Amino acid sequence: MYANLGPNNETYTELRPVFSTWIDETQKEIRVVRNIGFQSVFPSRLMQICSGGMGCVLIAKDVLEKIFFRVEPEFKTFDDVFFYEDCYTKGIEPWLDSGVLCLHHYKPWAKELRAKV
Amino acid sequence: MSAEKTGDAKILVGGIINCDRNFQLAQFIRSVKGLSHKNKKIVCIDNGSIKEFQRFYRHIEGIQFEKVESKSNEREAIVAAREYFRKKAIDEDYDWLLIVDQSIVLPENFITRAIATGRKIIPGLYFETASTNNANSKIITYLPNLFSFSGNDGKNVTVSRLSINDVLPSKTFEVDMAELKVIMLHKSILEKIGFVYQDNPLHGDIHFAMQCRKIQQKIAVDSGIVCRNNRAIVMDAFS
Repeated sequence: MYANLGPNNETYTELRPVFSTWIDETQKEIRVVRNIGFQSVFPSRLMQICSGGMGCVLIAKDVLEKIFFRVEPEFKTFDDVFFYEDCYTKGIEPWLDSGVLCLHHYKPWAKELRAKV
Repeated sequence: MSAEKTGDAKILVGGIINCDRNFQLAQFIRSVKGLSHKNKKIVCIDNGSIKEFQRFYRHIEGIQFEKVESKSNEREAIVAAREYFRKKAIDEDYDWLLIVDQSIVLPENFITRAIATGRKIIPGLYFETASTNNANSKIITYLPNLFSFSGNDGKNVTVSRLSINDVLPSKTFEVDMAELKVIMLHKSILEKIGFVYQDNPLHGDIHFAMQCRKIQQKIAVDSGIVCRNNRAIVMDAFS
């Protein structure tokens, strides 16, 4: 697990782990996902997630055989979004171990760089 | 091979609770009962104001609830409870003592992982919420319950809280001081240290850290076992 500084609302910026999941089974069923915040991933445990980043991910061979990394020109997103989307459509469950914490040397993208994505 | 290494170590889990603030209790009870280590006894000391406190817990099995003699304030009662657990662990010959506050939720493998560090004083890692001002906005960040001392001989030290990046990536490392809401102590330590009430709660933690220093025992933390802190208050990161 690793974290980014992400906007929370207009006046707050918050350290947030890079993944999203469901609050409960009902939300899982209708596929409503959200980032549940830093304190909520503790105590350390294995938890099923909907999507995450690709900054650090261990992928089994059989998954690599089913999914390839891709970006779509019409969407301003990176390959992580499509990776987890493809996992979902192929019935592969991503999991996060919040006992494995990574140090993330992170800097927010400069506006002009983000515009070029 | 000692019992601690075979996974059969006899553990006393001492919970410090307060029935006046029972909103956090269910999660706390679930977490101590859910600890995966089998050979353990769970005893909780209630510091609440209700005399018939046993009524609160009558439906909870597998935990012994007790009270220590009343103290002038809650922090003093907490220290008394820690001392009670320390003496109980010595008298009843437990291999380890785990003391945990009601506001902390432990990972189920906490005991196993703490013993696996091979150390004798292992506080649990948890985070406080902190805010810092940045231009027109605030940044919410998280600070560990761990501190370092700078200075020489232990008499005039400066105490500084570690930052989140100091505990990452997950590793076992030594610290000078930790807050004591969750701490696991080996039996060989219990007779050499004691919990002492101080007006400032941080001074109690400093006193404990100084005792560890005196007996030349390092405080070690495994940042791969992180506890949830249900009483994470927003504070100024640099106050």
